This record gives sequence, structure tokens and C-alpha cells, in this order.
Amino acid sequence: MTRRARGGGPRIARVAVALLIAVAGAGCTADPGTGTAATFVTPSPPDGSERATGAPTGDPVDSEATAADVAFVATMVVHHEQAVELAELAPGRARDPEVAELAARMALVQEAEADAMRTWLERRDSRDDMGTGHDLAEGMAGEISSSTIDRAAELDGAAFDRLFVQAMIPHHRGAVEMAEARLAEAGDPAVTRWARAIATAQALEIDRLLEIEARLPAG
Amino acid sequence: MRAGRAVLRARSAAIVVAAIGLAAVVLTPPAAAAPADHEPSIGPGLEWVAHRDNPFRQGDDADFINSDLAFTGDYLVQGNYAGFSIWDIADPAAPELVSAVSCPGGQGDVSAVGNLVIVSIDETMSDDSCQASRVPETDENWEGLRIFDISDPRSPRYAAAVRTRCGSHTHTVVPDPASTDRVFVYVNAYSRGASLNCTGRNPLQIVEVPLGAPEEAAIAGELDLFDDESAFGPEDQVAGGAETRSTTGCHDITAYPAKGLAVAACRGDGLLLSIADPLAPVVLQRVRDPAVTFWHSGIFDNDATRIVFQDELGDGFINTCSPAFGADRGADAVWLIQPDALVKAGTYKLPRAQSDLEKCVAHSGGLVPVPGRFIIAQAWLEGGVSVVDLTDPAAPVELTWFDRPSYGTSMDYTAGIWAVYHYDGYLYASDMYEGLEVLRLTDPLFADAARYDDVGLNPQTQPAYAWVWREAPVVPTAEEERAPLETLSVDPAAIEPAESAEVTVSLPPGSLTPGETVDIWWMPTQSVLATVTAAADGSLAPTPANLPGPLEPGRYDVVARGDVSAPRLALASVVVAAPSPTSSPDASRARGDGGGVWWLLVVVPFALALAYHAALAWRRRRRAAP
Repeated sequence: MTRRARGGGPRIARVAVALLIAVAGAGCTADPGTGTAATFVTPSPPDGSERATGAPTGDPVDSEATAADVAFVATMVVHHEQAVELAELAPGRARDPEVAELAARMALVQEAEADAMRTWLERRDSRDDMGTGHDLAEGMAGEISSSTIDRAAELDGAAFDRLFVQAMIPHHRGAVEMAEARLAEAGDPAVTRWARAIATAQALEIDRLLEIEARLPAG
Repeated sequence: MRAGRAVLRARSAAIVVAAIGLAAVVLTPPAAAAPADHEPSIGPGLEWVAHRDNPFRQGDDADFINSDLAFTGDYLVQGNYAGFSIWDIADPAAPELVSAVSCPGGQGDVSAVGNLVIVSIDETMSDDSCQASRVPETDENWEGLRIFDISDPRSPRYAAAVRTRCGSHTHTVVPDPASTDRVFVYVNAYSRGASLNCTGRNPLQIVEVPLGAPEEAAIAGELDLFDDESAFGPEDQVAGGAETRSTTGCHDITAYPAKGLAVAACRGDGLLLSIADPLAPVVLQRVRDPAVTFWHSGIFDNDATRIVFQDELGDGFINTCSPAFGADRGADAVWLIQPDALVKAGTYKLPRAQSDLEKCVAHSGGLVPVPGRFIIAQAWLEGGVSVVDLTDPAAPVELTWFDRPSYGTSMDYTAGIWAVYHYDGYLYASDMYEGLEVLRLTDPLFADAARYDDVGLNPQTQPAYAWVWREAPVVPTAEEERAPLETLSVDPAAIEPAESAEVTVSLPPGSLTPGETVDIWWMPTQSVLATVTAAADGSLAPTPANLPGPLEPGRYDVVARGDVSAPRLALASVVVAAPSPTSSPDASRARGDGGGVWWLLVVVPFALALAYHAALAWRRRRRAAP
């Protein structure tokens, strides 16, 4: 039942500072009615807690972007661009309706994600790292080579479907691997969530691609 | 389970009346809290009642965003990646922050059961304490459920931490049909491949929480919802251990305990479960759909004949509400529950295209309890709130909305409204960065929804809504069944034949659920004479009621019935005296149309009736005495 108003460490201090700033700057707005900072409490751990004393174990994660964050985001932009390039070839070429739909969705989603990640890099003034991203992307897992893209552009019907699936499965696995590599590192928790979301989405699409691969006519 | 403070609230009918009166006044205050370029677009029949800032917010930092909501009595619990907030919503137009509990770890999905608050943590933390920091999932870590006792809501006690295998992305409270002393909590989580503790197939873990001893909460069972064919296998891994199979657990489950059903949204799959035995859920149906990418959550209609699933395409990091994405991607999909299958019956997509600077996709929402309709209120992140009628799934109709055109600066990560739920006549929307929005549906269509007396709500544990006030009470005819009923005082209890008569009805403290809405029924015509609010002590203050006539000799029933305490009734009989004191009981049969059937069947000596009412009057006088 210990009540330690605003006594819970640097993060709480930051909350308090933010509140003070908010209060100070609230002159032109209505009272948001959130009460005072004294309403902040940090409960003690429960009895039998797994760690009742001492400093946090493990490496605390910095909430600022780390080099691992920038590398992950920059590389994923390039990785997504490859998927978008292949997926955008599907209209008019894909025969299997599920391949066509999956390709259309991939193109939309990964383009939007790549845009968001480019903006993220720009906000962090990491434009220079874009080059790094391309450098890092050299030989990255599941890369779709330009020769694969060129070949896909020449194909249509079942042959395109097969190439699409066969190129996209390892490509997605590569994305999952890249996300997991980032998840093993310290970094901004928000980027951690992003990496998890990408790994989840790509694993889902691998499921679908494997199902399609299993029923596509043999070439 | 109702918080004691519920007694103080103005409720239901009273709220409606008051709100109509205040409508002009409440239009402006919330707007003052928002910059001009931040003004939301508000649809017809929707009133913006209140706004409260996110007390945890630190600029654009994504570690301080709000998440889901839960309700207990007059308290609203708002989850946050940094802990949770407790709001007093006794006056929905003026929510008061009771406490902001700092205890970091996403995503802070919350439930409230009586005085307990349960919080989901699925970020790998250095330990289970509220001072923990986030660590990589490959390091030693803790994740799972945190349970707080909010008996003192200003100073919640951290009662228990339950470590789970893969943390808890969301969770679902399932009552124990055999006992009100405990609840079960379904832990919804999935594996993340290369992590230290959480790899491979992740079974559904079920935590038992003894309500009187939350510190004893523990895992009570676990089971795998997926068969070998569909689930993760050893081959579904890449170098480094990352998993490439998505079906490793569920994202969210919505239980409908009264129907023994649950709907599970399991990323690549949608499931219908039987939870008749909550410790042994059984998969009844499983669906996949090429159009649905990420099965995020589901909502039953009140009859449990339909489910609407949300597809969180892009996981909230992108805008799917654009012409490019179209009407079917990142949308709601309605499925009919047929005996042998779930059958897709339609889709709904937010009709307002959002800028690509905003994040928008189908997210969390719940049923708006309108009789005979399938209406939901749902969050669409920066697409705002959409209230939609899915009664005809093939032709969904958006009824109204709340949508900020821009969040000023677009956030890097997910942003906007996480969840919106209907509770006790209002919509509460949890905005990740901005805070809490309180809205009210003003269309008469929602009168019954507004009147519904919620005593608590975990939106992922759907209540069976019953609109008891829409049906006239059934009064027993046999004296032995009537005798045990609560006695409604009516004054005067004996009147002369007349065109109509004014009486006063009342009930002593403890007769009703505090704050509930109460109808006074006149049984001969099955009509409502008055609708009032029970007092804080459970009494019914003396309430005038005009008995419609012509009142001919006889004995007539007057009933008081509270929405919450129903089907319990309080009963009074009004005796209209015959012109002659010797008149036979047959005289009381003079009128009998409508529902006053009971007295046709009762043949009681008039003297007995007189004695009965004399006793009533004596009791009433005794109570009325100071």
C-alpha cells in the first residue's frame, strides 16, 4: 500500500516535469481537469515478487533511437522497396486470384510502411543513413535481386505466380530475421513494437504464401 | 460488484432529461481544450461531452500512450503503456482523475472486476515491479499479468504478478459459472520466435483470480487451440530461431458467458469457441478469409447470432482508410453463426478517407445495446470513432462519428483512438496521445441504450443485455406468491370510485439497488405512471402517481420495478371502495381488460382484503414515523 507520489524514479520525474510544463502552458486552454501531479502513484511490488530489491536486471532500454534502430529501419525500407517492386508487377501478370490479391495488398501495405519508415528516418535527421541502409541491404536475407525482378517482368500466368511465391517466401523470411535481430538488441521500445508488428505481418503472409505454393500447378 | 459510489450518480432517465436541458451548454467546453486546427468533425446525433488529457503523456513519446478501457461502477480504468489511470465518471460530463498509477509495460490492456484491476504486459520487462525497465526479449525478463486492488482508488495496491509464457497482449475475464468468488482470465498472447521464454506454439493460458485473495492468482490451466496442421511446427523457423508461422496464439478473445461462447481473433484465424466449461474451451468453428489479414478482435450481437471481426491490417502503423486500400482491406467483416459454419455476410469500412499522415484501421469497439439491432461503436485510430448499424450486414450504415481531421503532428507510430465503448449511456473513447473523450448519442434510437444501467463492463466480456423496462411486469395471482413480494407503500391505499386519483408511492431504504431507474406500473392498463431514480440508500422517495380511471370498485395492483433489481418487484394494491361496505368481492371484477388478469382468478373474502390493507397502512405509518 506504499504510496509514493512522484517518487518512482527518473521517468516519474519526467512526468512531473511534463505536468508542470503543461500546467504552466495551460493559460490559453480550458482546464483539462486531470487533477494535480499528486495523483501519480507508484505501487510497491506484490509480496513474493520475483525481484523485490536491487537495480533492474538486464540492460535498460533507452527510449532514444539507437544505431540498431536506425539500421533496422533503414534496411527495412530497402527490403520493403524490393517487395513492392515485385508486387507491383502482379497486375496483368498474376493468374491466381489469391496471388493477385496478396500482391496488391503487399504493394499497398509495404509502400505505406516504407513511407512511414522514411519519414521516421527523416525526422531523426538520418538521411545519410539511407545510404547506409542500402549498403546494409547488400546481401540481406531473402533479398530479391534485380535479375529476379527482370525475370518476373517477362512472365505471366502460372509462371509469374510461381516466381512471385518462390521469391516472396524467402524475402519475407528475411524480414522476419531482420526484425528478430533488432528485437535481440536494445533500442527505442516503439521501434521494438514496430519490429514485432512487421515480423507478425510477414509471418502471416508466409503462411498464406505457403498455402498458395502448395496448390499452385507445378511448372 | 457495484462500487458503492454508484449510489451518487444521476442515472438513466434522469440523465436523459438533464442532458437535454444542458445540451446547449455542453457543446462548447470540450472544444476549448483543443487547438483550432484540432477540431474534430462530429456526426449527427453525437454530443462531445468532455475531454481529458492523457496524464502520462510526454510529447510524442510512444511509451506513454493510452490503450484499452474497463469500467467498474463509477470508475473508468484506462490502460497506458506506462501504467493506468482511474477516472471517476459519476458525472460523465466531468471525469475526475482519481489516480495515475505509474507501472510501465505495454500494452496495458485492462479489465476491472469489482475492486480489482488486471493489466496485460507483453513487453519484456526487467522484473515484475513498477520500477522495471524494458529489456530485449532475449535477456532475462518478466511479462504477464499484473493485478491491483483499487479498494482505495487513490492508492491502488499491487496485489499480484502472474508470469505468463508469452506475456499478455490482451486478456479476457471469464466468470466462473460455479462461483462468484473467482474469475478466470484468458491470456491472449503469441510467440515471438527468438525470444528467451516465448517460442513455438503458445497455448492459451488461463489464470484463476480469487476475488477475495488476488495475491493467490495463478495459472489454472492451458490448452492449444490449434491443430497440428494449422499451427506452428519445427520447420517454421529461420536461422536465428525466428518463427515464420503466424498461428501461435490469439490476439484477442471476446467472451459471451451468458451464451457459453467466445470469439477468438487469432491473427491469421478467426475462431468460435464454446466456453461452457471456462477451463476447457472447445473450438466450434474456425475461419480464414483471403480478405482478412489480421484477425484483431470480434464483437457478438446481443443474440449471439452474428459476429463482427476487425482486421487490423498493417498493425496500426499505416493509413488503410484511403481509396487505394479500398472498402474491404483493414475493414470490419460480419459473420453469421450458422449451426455448421461461420458465414460471411458483409463488410464495413470507415467511409471517411484519411490523410496518409494519419494511421487508420479497424480497431477496438463494442456493442451499443439497442434492442433488435446490431449497432457497434468502434475505434479507427486516427480515423476516430464510428458508430455503425450492422443489422443488415450486407448494407451497413454509419450512424455518426467523431474524427479529428489531424492530430497536429502526425506520430511516427500508431496514434489516434484505440478503443471506444458504450457505458451507462455514454461513449468513452481512449485516445492514445490525446486522452479521454466522452461522447453521447442523442438520437431517440439510443434511449434504451442510455437507460441501460451498467454496473461494470469489461468490453471483452460481453453482457447479455436485457431491456426489462420494455415489458410489463408479470404479477403473481396466488396469495402465497404475492405475500413474499416487497411491499410498495401507497398512500392513500383506499380510495373512492373516481375518474382518476392521485396517490403517492414510496419504498423504504434497502428496497432497491441504489441509483437504479425505477418504473411505477399501473397493472390494470399495464402502463407506466412514473419513472424515477432510486435514492442512494435504496429507497424510493415519495413519488406522486396519477391512477387513470374511471376507478371502479375493486383491488388493483401497483408495481415498482427497478431496472437492475428486476425481476424483483415491489407490489401494492389500491382498493377502490365499493359504495356499500357489504358489497361482495365480485364487484371487484368489474374491470379486467389488459393485464389485470390476476384478480379475476383471486377470490378472497373482502374482509381479508381489508385486514390486509389495514396491516399495510399500519406498516406504512410506522415507517413514515420519524
